[in-house]
Amino acid sequence: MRNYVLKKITGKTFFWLACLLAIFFFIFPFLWVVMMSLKNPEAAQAVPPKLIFTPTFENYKQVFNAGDFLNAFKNSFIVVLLTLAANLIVALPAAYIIARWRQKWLSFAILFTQMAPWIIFLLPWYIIFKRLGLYDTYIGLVLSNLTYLIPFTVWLLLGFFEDVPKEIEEAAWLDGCSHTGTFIRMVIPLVKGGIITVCTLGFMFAWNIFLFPLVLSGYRSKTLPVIVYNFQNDNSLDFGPLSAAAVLITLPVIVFILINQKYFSRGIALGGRK
Amino acid sequence: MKKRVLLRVGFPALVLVLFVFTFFSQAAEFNWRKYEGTTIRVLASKSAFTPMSQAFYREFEQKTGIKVIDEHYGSAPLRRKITMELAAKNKDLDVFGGMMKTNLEYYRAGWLFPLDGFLKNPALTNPNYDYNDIFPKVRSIVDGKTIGITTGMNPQVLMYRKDLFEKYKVKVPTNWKELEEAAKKLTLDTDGDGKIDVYGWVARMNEENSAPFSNFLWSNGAAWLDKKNKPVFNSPQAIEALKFYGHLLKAYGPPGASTLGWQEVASAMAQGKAAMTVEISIFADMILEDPKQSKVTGKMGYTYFPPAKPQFKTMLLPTNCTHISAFSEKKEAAWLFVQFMTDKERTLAFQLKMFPTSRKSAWLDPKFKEMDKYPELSKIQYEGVQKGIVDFELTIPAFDEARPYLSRMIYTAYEGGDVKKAADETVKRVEEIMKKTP
Amino acid sequence: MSDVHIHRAGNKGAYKEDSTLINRVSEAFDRNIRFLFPLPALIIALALFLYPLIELFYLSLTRWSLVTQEPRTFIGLGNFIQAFTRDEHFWKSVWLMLYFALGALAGQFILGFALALLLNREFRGESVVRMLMLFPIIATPVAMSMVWVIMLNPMMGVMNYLLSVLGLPPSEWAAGSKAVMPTLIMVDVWHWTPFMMLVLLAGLKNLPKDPYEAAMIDGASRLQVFFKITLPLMQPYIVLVVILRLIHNLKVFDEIFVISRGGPMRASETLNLMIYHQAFTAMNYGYACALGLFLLLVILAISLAVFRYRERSWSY
Repeated sequence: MRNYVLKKITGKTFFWLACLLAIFFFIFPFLWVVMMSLKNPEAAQAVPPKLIFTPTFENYKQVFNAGDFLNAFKNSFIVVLLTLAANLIVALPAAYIIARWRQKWLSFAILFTQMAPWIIFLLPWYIIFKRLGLYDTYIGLVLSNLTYLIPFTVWLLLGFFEDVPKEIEEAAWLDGCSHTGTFIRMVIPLVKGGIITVCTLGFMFAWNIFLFPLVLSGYRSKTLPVIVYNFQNDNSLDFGPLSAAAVLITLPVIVFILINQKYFSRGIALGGRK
Repeated sequence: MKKRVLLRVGFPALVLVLFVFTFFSQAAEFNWRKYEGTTIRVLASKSAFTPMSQAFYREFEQKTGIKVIDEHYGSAPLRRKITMELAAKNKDLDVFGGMMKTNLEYYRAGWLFPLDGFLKNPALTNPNYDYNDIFPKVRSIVDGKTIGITTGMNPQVLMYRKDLFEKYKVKVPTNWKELEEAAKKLTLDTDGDGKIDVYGWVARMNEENSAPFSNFLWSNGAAWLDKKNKPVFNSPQAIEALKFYGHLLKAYGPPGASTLGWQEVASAMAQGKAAMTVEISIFADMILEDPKQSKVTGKMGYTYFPPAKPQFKTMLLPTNCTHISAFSEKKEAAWLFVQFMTDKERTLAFQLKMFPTSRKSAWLDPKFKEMDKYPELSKIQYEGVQKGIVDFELTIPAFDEARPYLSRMIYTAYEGGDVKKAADETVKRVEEIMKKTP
Repeated sequence: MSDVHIHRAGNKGAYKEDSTLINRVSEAFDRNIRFLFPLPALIIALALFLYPLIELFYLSLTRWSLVTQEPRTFIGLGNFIQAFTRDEHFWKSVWLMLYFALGALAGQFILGFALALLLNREFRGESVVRMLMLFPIIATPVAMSMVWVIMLNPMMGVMNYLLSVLGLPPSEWAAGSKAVMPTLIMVDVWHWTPFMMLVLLAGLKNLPKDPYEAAMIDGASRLQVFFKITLPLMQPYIVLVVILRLIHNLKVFDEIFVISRGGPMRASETLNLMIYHQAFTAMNYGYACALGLFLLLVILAISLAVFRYRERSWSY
């Protein structure tokens, strides 16, 4: 009996030890950057690193004083929200049709776009966007975001649509409901969970995307990742402002995902389902 | 009678003189508002001077009625953005900043608008602009064409710990032999624990090593290319320079040299862990003399990089330039902008912030002399600018492509490999690259 | 009064007529939603994907350097011949790409599976533990890569300090030509292991209970249970997530670009980075397109495999 209790206790300690170790591994860079962002340049450069120091908000002040930070914040939010809305309007019907009618070639095409290497498209895109007047506009950025978000959304929602029993739709059709009406009034509410999941993950993707806005945005629509990348300085050893900027860009997305944790975890799990 | 003659001749003469005078003074009144209402777009590198530049942009807008849209990026993304926009022949890019190294590539591609016509046109160039005030050595001229306006430079100088040199009675080196002696004597174990606390020498050995190495190359009378643009950095003098560069760091530098970039070198100096290096002079004000970042403020000395033989004494001058795009549709307005930003007044303002500018007048200005924080450094920079070398790197359009190979060759010298063989191979490689992009 | 009446009547008539028109249109729409619903998605795909793809295909057959002013010339398969036979870095870049993708995959899978097994139980603070582990996937990659750059700095960074605390010799990390690939793999493992963990954990939680009960009655050891029951049951989850991660790992760009830029001395220049450098540093655009097409075909082949696999599982 005693042996059993002992075993259970050591088992528990082992479990928590392993957990803490894993958490430390994953969290360490975050702890580090938060600390760096609160240090003055002298403390930040110290070797071995100082763990106890007087925090300063000077770095954060510098970030906000850099001028374009708040504007980029606004741009990022607008682009993300527009992206999510446009994504649902375009991708929901497409996913529904593919799930219902199993258009194999279409789902393959969509899967493939999700896997294509993007760098090679940058220059053609730049030229097209320029020609269409979409360069440095919110619409242009939203469109560029859609290229990876639509395939992802379709891929993820397929399962949700497949889970909607066909009988419900057939009953609605018999009642004289149109296909479109049935889709909007009956089917969409049933995949609400999927929609929230898509939006949660979509928020993360669109908030974090860097390569597209770097090439396709100019002074008007510059988003946060581009601004943050700019804090890499060419002739200074002061990493404080960069760290503060990194904290500020990461905070909103982490808070947002924390709120929607359930959907986020499910979304990730579904991304690799079946 | 005499009086009348005087009146008859004198009066018209006076009128004429007055007329001529007013005419010329009107001409001298340069019209800045000719392109009022236009908007130009500027891409520039982000640095400590950005806020100051931006304040000047607003002043320019007030003065000319031309709106300036400016974007600032770090050097790597800036270059990518400019390249992409120019490759797409973007008409909305008017002015951009760059370094002399990248000029050539853009110029050969036909992306830079030559400014000679504008400079000669009194309607477009303010008579006060005084282009000749810019040091002839550093002007951005390729094939006889002015492809940009040089705003400033980053001379490479020997930075050394004055206090240590005095304490250990070491002579500030004036040639290679003395350089090695100093490095040897100043590799110190100050607390006697058997570990080295101060390294005698530190210099870049990562991908960026070709810039500081160039000091060794030129100061031994060697060169990257000969007069016919043939790569010759496998000459005996060049091999000697390679070996010395590698040896110095190997024998008197910190371990793990392949990781040494400008940040590591600057940090080693700032933390007092190294006694000497050769680096760009801007680090003095930006890092080494900034008490927030450095432990060695006030202890630094600056001088020429010591040459192997006195006749090879020189200074390497990386330069920053401003260009007008060949695809811009508002070249005149863009020129007004470039002119405004590089005129005497603006240049002096940057000089007063310790940025080494390209105008003689700024260096000689009494205001600068009065506030100059590092007169010793200023003196050699001012001299160096007049006789230094601007094209000190391997000056080929595809420099970026060749760079990793040069870097590896220099590293071979550090590792103690077969330097001659590495140099021969690299020359061959560079020749191939040059064949592709004439 | 009557005025209003007439007006109303007229209005009604118009509405009726309208409604039939609308009806007819909407009926036509309804009959064809099969084609109309995916249309916007298709248009976007065509404009932003197919058109550049065609251009890519054409350009890959030309010599087009952005630096020289010579016009682009059609050279057939010249670029591919150059890549396959003469460019010594090409095969190295392919190898580096595979090395990175497989190395990171192995790390992610082993760690991710171990964590999933560890967390596959009910305990207090479950959601907090899981949330904390998710941070790496959520955080903005560019920002975190920049943080890694600071931490990995061999002289000033905290990573070498951590090693010294553990009594280990310092590493050159991303700055050393030998250490750079393992370092990049480590960062990618850090970044994506939580993803692997979540997917596999979801799979574990969905497994049927009966086989385990049967095994317990039989008195099977833990290892036996794992290899005989868990692994085979998890197979479909594992195969899919492994392929998805593999494709993603082949495409990784941002992290490598920010942390090592393909260096030092091209030691981490994977095919992706090589394409980028050829296009925007060396500016051999035609050549870059040929390399891009090659990468596209590799990924196409893998996608095809995924698709076939998914198709099969669809029929269950």
